[in-house]
Amino acid sequence: MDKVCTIILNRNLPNTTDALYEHISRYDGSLTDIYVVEAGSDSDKMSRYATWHADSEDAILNGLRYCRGMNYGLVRLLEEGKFNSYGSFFLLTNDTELKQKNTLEPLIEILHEHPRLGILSPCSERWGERFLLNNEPTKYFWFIHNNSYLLRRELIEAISNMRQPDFMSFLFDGTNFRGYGSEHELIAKAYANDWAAGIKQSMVIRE
Amino acid sequence: MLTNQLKTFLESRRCTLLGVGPMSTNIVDVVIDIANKHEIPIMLIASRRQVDSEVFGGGYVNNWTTETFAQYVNKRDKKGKILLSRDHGGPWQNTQEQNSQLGLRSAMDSAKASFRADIEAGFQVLHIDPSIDIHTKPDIDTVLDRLFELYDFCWSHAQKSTREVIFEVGTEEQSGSTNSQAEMDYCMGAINNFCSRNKLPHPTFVVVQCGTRVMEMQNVGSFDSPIRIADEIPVEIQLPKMIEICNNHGIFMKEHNADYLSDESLQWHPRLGIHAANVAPEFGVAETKALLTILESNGLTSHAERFLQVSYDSRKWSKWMLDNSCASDRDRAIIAGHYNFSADEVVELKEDAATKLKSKGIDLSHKIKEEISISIYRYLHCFRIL
Repeated sequence: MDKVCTIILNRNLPNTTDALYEHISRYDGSLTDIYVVEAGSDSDKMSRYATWHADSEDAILNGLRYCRGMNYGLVRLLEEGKFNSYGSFFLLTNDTELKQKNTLEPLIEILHEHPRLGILSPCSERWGERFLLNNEPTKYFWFIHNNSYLLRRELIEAISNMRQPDFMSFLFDGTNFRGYGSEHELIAKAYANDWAAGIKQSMVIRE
Repeated sequence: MLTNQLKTFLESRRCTLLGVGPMSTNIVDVVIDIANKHEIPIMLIASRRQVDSEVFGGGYVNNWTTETFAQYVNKRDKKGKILLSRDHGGPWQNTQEQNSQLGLRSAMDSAKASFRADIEAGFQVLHIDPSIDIHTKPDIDTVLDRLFELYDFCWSHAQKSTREVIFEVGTEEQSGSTNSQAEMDYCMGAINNFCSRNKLPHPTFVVVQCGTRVMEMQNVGSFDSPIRIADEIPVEIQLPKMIEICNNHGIFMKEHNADYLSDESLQWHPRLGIHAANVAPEFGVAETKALLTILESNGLTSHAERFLQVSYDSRKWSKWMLDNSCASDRDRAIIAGHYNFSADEVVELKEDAATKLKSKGIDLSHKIKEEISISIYRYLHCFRIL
């Protein structure tokens, strides 16, 4: 089973980020390496597990938001020669709350069972989609209103700017600062490249 | 024939049709004027609380009965562009039926009496909604049985009266906040089978809950929300599937409670293929706000205060309040304003205000209608009707 790369995006909420890091480390530590992107955090508000600190003037003033933040982390992995050592990428904002159990193993199993599934989202116990999932463990969707995804590496390679990657242009369009419609774009690009997006039942997160 | 006319109109403009609640005489006048000026169909969607048969003592809007309301509209609608429509007709859809704690048979008979008056008055669109039951929670097949009984009755009476009617079925008031796709498919199949078996015309509209809900002076559903609403399926997922089901069954999709949606959300309606949408309280609130602005900016503060007091005291705002509402007393009074336009005290103070304003060269009615027009035109433009 290829290792998962987890990227947590933080800005000035060290305790929250630390809690998420420690949760994943505790329940999924054997399956994943965890990286923390500090999106312009103040020096005294960084996670104790911070990996990279985006400290440009703009990042400090405005943060990176989701699109630029995730681009930042993924591109750093490319630059450090680590990108290809992972089979999938678990992208999380620091406010994600996971249940007190293993999160990644069931998600990875789904990726193995569905070879063309490129994007997989856990399902919250408060999402309406759970009524559509019903008794089925996984369903494919054309839209997922979430920003906690497990992305297959091949999908990222298929739809990202691999030629001149940087935090403004890689997997996400960094010019879309607030990220409105970015989930539409990600999923549309996936399907246009013969990759599906799905939601997994029974691996719920709280939101 | 009416369905075909609407279909032609929808196809030619690729628009969304508008249904307007007749919240006041001014609103009805504005709708008639706009429809005739631009030669476009607009539905006036009267609920049984707003307008009902004389048998039930009429409704709160201008104390109109079904008959007098229809006469009022028909007299002014020179080009025949208004579609008189019953919104949520059915058992216990009238306050009197609820307060009297009518049993099922009495409530169904009462609903039939209301529909009979609608048909005879020339209402063309009948929304049959038997989903309310004050005594029990009927299952879906029971609701369908009641629908079939009323459907058959309405069609038979329309034939006897040589009136053309088309039907709207379904309701946005579900136990969840969105209809389930499976339930929708099942219901449409059952209704179409019923109509085919009994040689009745198939319904023209089905009401689909697509994430719109009006509370206070905002739309709190998922349609316009950039963040998730708990337990609701995102509209990006729900709506295309529902529209697909409607298209498969050859029926137009109608949305209720489209009030207060943003321009962007409204503009998505024709793009998505939503065939029609109803708007009601927003226009009543627009009129109330217009009235207050004119009164308060022209030194008639006491008139404004009296109106607000009457409105607040009526407590007609109470059903619209959010849990943990932060609405002020003034907000509540504004929300309830249109329910009180026909109250004697309000009529009197408006007449007095109009007289005083006239001496300043201000036509109160005209000013109010201007504001109402702005509200209505927003929908017509966003829906691509104009």
